[in-house]
Amino acid sequence: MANTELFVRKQPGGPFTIVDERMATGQVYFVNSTKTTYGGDAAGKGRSPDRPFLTIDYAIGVATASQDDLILVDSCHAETITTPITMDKIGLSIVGLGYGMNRPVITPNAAIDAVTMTAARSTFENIIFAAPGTDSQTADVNIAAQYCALLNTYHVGSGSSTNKVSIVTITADGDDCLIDGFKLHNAVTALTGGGISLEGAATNIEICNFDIYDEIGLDLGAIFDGATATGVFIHDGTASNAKAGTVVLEFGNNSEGCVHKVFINGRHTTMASNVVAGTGMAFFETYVVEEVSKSSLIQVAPPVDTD
Amino acid sequence: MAFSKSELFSRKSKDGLFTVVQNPASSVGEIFFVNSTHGNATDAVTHGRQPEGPFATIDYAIGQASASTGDIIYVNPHHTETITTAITMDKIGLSIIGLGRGMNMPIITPNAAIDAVTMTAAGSTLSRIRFAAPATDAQTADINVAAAYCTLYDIHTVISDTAKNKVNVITLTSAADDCIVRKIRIYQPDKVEVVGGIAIEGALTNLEIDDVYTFCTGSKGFTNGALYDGATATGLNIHDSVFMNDKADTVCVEMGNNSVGVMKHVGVNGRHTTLASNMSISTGMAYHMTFAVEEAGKSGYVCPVVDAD
Repeated sequence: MANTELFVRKQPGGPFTIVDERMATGQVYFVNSTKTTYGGDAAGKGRSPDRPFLTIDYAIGVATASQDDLILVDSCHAETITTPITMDKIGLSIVGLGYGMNRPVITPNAAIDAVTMTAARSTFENIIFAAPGTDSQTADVNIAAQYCALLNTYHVGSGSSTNKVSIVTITADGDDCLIDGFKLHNAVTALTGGGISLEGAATNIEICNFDIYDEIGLDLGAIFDGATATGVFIHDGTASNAKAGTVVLEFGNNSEGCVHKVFINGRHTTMASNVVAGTGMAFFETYVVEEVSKSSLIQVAPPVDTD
Repeated sequence: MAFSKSELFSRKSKDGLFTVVQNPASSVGEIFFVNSTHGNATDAVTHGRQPEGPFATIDYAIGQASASTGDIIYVNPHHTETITTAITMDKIGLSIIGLGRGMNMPIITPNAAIDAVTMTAAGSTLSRIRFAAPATDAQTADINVAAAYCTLYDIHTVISDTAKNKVNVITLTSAADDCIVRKIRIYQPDKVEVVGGIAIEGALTNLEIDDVYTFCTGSKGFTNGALYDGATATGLNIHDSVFMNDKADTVCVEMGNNSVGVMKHVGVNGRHTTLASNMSISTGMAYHMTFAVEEAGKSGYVCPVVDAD
């Protein structure tokens, strides 16, 4: 009989470990850039926290598709990348360790999508993306496969004279994806894109528990569509855009779905003009201001359905 | 004084081996593993006790579980199963939990006119399972709850395909007292209309429905509503959800049998002709922060009418 979720895993030349199956059903790998003495991007490494891999990309290369491997990234890990980290193994999870804001940090330093999810069922969790080292970095995360999740990530949008175009982009292949616990802080340079871009006609996208905070500008909006996505569910979040005359939520491509319990902090001229509703979205319990020092009004953007 | 600094405890088996459990509160009973994609998967009594030798089907695992011992069946996130007979959860206190992170969860494809999963034993829990579009027309439901103290959590479903639909998604009989339906995602693609989303078909008591999202497109929707009662249930607590019905001139949330309870923080996204006609108001429900639209591109308006006297 079995009364436990804990099972022994063996590794070549190494000790056995006990793993909780609820945490990972596949292999577990460790990444920590600070362990340069005993760690390394080489065979024989990566199977214990004391001898970890040094880069996330190397760990992905070692992982196996379709067995739900897990890459645990130490909270002190820091990595500056000039080529994208491509999550191309089905079912792979990359999870940052650490509590609160003590998490691993990725610093993008090229005009790239720092992380791009091309394999279905990928999960990326609990990692900070620093301000870009290169101007016009295209995105922190690009979701281009089905059943992917982006959980509890923190993003800095810009540095002095360097910005990101957008923070998260979702292509037409990003069906049934989840963005939960997304936080953006942008204070130095306006983004030429915006926060979360629904750039493809994906279906069934959920964005929840988000905080998009901006002090300088998100040119295309905090959340915006570049195509007609369907099954969109945006709820329980705050979206701001400090740029004058610029929309906060933009659904000009008539994506379909709903916005529920969202606070909109815009600087367009009227409350209504802070939201481009499109013809496919419904809005419930949305509150809007178009200037500071005011309390928001409920259900004014877009106009209330009264007939 | 005896004390412990560990959450790990050993347990002995009849064969003399010991295992380690992390926390007795999480697994007071036996634990089974199901994974149809594993090379060693077999529905035999020699299997199912470890992830490297799992059962191949959920139904077989249920057959090996015991009632009233808190058994848990863990289903691998890559498990897929096409079923032609119902999976009956008939062991009291049994939990079936899909493993995996985020959106990575096991998939059940119903392929008969059946309730894919039916809960007939009290205290059953079904968590983190995705139901694919039906392979057979008129599949009666994804889940039928017919016992007390049952829980559905983190369930995703697609409810129609070309020329094939589900009749309802979740049905709750009069025996489904004291149940929780939480974090349910129901997607109706532009395929075939279905009868209903969540159907409170019996006069049950004490049901919580929380964090439900139904989405429809292409004017396809629910004949009877995204949420509806077929009897007078009591003790309803419906909250923090959005119900959509894209079918024209059709109710979205229907409480015509005057179920009793509270609805709060709910969005009603309907396409009936007026705001009011998208909700069939119960004489037994109170509504707080409930808003409706009858067309897209608008903010919801308070519905039903405000109590102003």
